[in-house]
Amino acid sequence: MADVAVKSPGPPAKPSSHGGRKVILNFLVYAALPVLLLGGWQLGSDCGYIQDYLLPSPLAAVHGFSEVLRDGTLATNLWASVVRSVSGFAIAAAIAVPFGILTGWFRLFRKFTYVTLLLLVPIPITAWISIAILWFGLGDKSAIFLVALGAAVPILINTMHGVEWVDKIYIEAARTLGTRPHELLWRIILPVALPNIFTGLRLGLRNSWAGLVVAEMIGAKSGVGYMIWDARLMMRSDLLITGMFLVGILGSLSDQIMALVSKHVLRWHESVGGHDG
Amino acid sequence: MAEPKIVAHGITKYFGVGAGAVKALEPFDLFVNTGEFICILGPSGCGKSTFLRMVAGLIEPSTGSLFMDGQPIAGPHRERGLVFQEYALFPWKTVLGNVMYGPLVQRLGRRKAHDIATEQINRVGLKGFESRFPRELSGGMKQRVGIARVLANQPEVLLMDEPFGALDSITRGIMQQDLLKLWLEERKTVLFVTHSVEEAIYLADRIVVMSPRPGRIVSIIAVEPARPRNLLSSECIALRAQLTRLVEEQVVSASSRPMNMPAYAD
Repeated sequence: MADVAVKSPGPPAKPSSHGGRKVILNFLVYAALPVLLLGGWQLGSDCGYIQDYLLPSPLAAVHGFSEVLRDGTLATNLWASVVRSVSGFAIAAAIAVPFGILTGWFRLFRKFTYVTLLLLVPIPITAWISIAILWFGLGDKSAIFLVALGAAVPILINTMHGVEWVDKIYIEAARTLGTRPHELLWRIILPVALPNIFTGLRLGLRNSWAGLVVAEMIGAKSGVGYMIWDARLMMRSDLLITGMFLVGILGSLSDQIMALVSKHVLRWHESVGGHDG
Repeated sequence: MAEPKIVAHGITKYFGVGAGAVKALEPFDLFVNTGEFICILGPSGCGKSTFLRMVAGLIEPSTGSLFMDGQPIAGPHRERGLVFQEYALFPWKTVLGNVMYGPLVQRLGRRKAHDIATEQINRVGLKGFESRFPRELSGGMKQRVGIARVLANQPEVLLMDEPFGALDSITRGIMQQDLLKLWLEERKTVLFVTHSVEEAIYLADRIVVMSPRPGRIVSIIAVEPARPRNLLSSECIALRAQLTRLVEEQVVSASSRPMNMPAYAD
């Protein structure tokens, strides 16, 4: 069996020469732009080109950061935001994934919900804030509602398409192998749609931060969004910048976690360089 | 002779309805004996894959009837295993997971399924690759998994839809030899669709030659030489010339191509 003998089990050895130098070079390329931006910004502030009340220097922002770190408001606000984000996202996933599977799998249900979704989906998350406060009042509930709503839309759409466009050949293969019709959803459809579902989860997570920040600015008295809003009212531009950075860090951290989970769950999936010859 | 394994009687197939309907198969009659290796040979679009999918139970004939062991074929069943040209392996399952799939769906239990799968993986020469995912395999290896996955279900009839059509000619030759070895061990009934004259001569007991759309049986030719066949023997060369002429005549007449143009095979 010659074509089998060509490849032997076990991963191919990776060339390791010059590995160290490459790592350092890579690091430099990645770090260059942020360092330049921060340096230029600090220099601009020091030389008086950038007005302090419009944009405080990075060092001023660091001072503001250490202030809220010491007095404990940072921890309180961060914790409030993380709790809202995690619970809102969990609710969204728990509802939108099954709903997306239903709409993707049952054509009648898809038609049934089509017009409703067509009208509701384009409403941006910011447009929901008033009704969220009306329904849930100021605080956690309306924030969680907006996070969930922001996450739910991409999750729903991607899950639906993933299920709807499952390659028929997998269903044919499964049926000729003796799969009973009611088992198809669980055994075939769901795994085939999984990459799309994860795309939806990741987009949903990114989208949910917008919902969180808006909700906390207007509808809450804690959280990083509230921190940014309050800093503006108090004319504390250093804290405003700190708050924005925190949102950025939380967002990219959660995105990285999602990427890692998805990479593990979808390790079977065709990825760059994974194709056969 | 015993009762035929598969009987196709007056099968036709139309795609679409009304005036726009396309006729894919003319009335089609075929008897396949138990343990027989049948190759269905024809140009692209002659409805040979359509016929195979009907036997698999994936599509229904427009008219006519199909029987296996005297029972009408109604829907897919594990006793008629289908091997796809595109492999159709489950990409989220490992080699072992793919081959275990059938036995697991039959509720034979994990232990039994594992034993069966391991045995079939060894038979197709993929020992050591059990934990690989399909994307890590070459085309030939993927189709080995495709064959093992079907064999693990202990089918009575093996349906193969241009299984080696996507492979390079060297791999293809090796796969043909290995398939023949597997078949000689168990002598399952095989329906093998191909557009390669050489492949049909190498493998088949009988070759069913089909015309282009609408597909109909032009001729059924028995291949006599003992296996393994040497395609360069005078018998095989004569057969090859005869079959090539038959197939080309069909293609030429179907496309109303002038006879003085260079003919093409395949």
